[in-house]
Amino acid sequence: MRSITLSQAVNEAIAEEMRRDSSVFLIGEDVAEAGTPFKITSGLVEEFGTQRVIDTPISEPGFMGLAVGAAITGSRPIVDIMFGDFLFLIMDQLCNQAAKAHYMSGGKLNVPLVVRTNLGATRRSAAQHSQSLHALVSHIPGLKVAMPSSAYEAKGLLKTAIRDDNPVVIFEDKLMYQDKADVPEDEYLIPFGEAAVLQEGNQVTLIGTSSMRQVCEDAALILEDEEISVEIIDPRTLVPLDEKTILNSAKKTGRVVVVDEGHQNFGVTAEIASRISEKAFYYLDAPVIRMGAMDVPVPFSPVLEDLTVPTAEKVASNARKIIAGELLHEL
Amino acid sequence: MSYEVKMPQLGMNQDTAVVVAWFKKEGEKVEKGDPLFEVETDKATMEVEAQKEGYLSKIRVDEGSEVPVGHLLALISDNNEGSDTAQTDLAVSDTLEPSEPEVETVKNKSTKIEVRNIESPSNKKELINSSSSNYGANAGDKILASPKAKFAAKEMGFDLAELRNAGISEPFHFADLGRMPQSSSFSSIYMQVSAEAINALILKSESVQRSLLFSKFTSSAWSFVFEESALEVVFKDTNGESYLETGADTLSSSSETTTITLIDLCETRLSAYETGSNNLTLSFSQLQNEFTVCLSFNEKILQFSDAVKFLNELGARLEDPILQLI
Repeated sequence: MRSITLSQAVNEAIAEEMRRDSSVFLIGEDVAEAGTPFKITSGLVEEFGTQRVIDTPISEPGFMGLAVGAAITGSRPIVDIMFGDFLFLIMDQLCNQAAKAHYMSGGKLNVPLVVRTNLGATRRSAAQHSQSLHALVSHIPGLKVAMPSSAYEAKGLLKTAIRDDNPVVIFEDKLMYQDKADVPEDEYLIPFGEAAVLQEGNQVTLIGTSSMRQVCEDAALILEDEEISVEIIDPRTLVPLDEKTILNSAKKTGRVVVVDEGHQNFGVTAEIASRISEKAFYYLDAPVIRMGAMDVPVPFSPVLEDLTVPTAEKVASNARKIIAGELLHEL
Repeated sequence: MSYEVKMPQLGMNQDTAVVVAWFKKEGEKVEKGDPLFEVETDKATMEVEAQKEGYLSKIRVDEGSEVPVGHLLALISDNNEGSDTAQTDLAVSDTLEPSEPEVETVKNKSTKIEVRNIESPSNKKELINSSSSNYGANAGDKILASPKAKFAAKEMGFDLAELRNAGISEPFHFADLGRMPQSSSFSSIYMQVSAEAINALILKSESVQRSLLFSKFTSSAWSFVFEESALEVVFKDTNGESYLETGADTLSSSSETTTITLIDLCETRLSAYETGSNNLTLSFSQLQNEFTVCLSFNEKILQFSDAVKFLNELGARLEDPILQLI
């Protein structure tokens, strides 16, 4: 099978869906001529023209509002939000309008739009361009949230998102755009709400979203050297969340470490850990461990920035401790 | 069980009060509602009724003493035991903060007030004891264990307090249950069977050893009942020394091997040997022309019905050895 970058996979997904469905269009800052700062949409404007690949002024609330209206009236916009941090600018359009229109119209309106944006620190982009804000939108009923963890997931999930009749926010890790993975040439979709069990094991479950999947896989390699059997789960979508796969694994291993790059406080790790604690309580042999980004604005200093995110070593260390029955917190 | 009588709060700003008089003596029977003592504050003098029936077991505050609100004044015990119990109870409550008693409304001088059910600290301790009695000796001191370990222990009917008693550190995890001693379900079955045929066989041929016959028949009865399971026979002599008689059949080495210990007591006056351990043990003794065979086993390892079957098969072989040898 061929191996392509995550960036190429996203490009392919958009191009394929735009060819398939003429109501799909792409809108955002620098999506046409510049192909985004990450060169993801390069070549699309040449194929589809400026009517369907639309460069906007720096005006997120404006073009997001435009996209919500377009979606309600029959188009399927893909909105490019250059940095996940700019989600704050479109909160009303996304959370008050797009997320609620279907409900408030009694099902008469659909908002089939996709917000494509990114997350992830350690790119030396400082506090306003390094946040992972997926928990924010996961909290809002009416939005679906996808978290691709490789080029394969990026393509399959984005195509599903474009075809979904509900607003979907899809987060790509900006550090993974050049990471390659095997991606089939034939068309495929990845359904929402189906987690991937990447590796089976029976002593500890590592749940990793987005790029934290790679961190979990690296941690598993460390632990396997110590003959610890690790199960790795990538939820792939946060909303809907594949609770069944997660709970089954938690029940099997009795120990879970949830790793996500959002801030740990009130975050995605908290939600997943809490569901496990509620629904698999009697199977747990150790507290469910949350590992998120440190609860500080992401520092610009590379040395400090690297300390704020979960690493394979830290994940392995926590897993090792709960397997040994060591306490992470005082009794 | 005993109830604490404490200095009630009779006014909003009252911190202390004087016990003017006790209406009951130590050891005296007290009915609920009996005037128990008289108390004086800077505003009023009041009688306080007993809330519980029992015996006034210990008066701690003499008449005329001024004590803070909530101070322990006396105990009312269910039975009129010696002062020993009272002392212990007091020792317990001494270490705890006196709780503020609940008092009904106080209107004016000589209003009768009622000290309501005061749940004394020592009383609480007993409650904890009874509700967590399945956790054994360290009751009141919560046993820390993972949900999985607790759940599994409950399912298996194990008491986690045994792990604590065994000195295993808390919190307990699932793997710690494996370190828990198995609760005993040791059994012994006795069988009496005619020794005539075996004795006749031994008389006929000096080369035939009784112990060897026991071993052969044991193995044969075992493989008849448990086709898949291999048996290893160990002899234990009356000096306590053991030696391997027959190893497990190599053909069935893939399956689980069970070890059985045989003890021949026929040359002694002893009648049976029971081990009360997980080890499977068979003892043979002889009185006149009858063998007594005793099988000791753990019912958690070997089911009772299987043990009966096995012993019956062994009995049949002992009664009719020729048939078996053919």
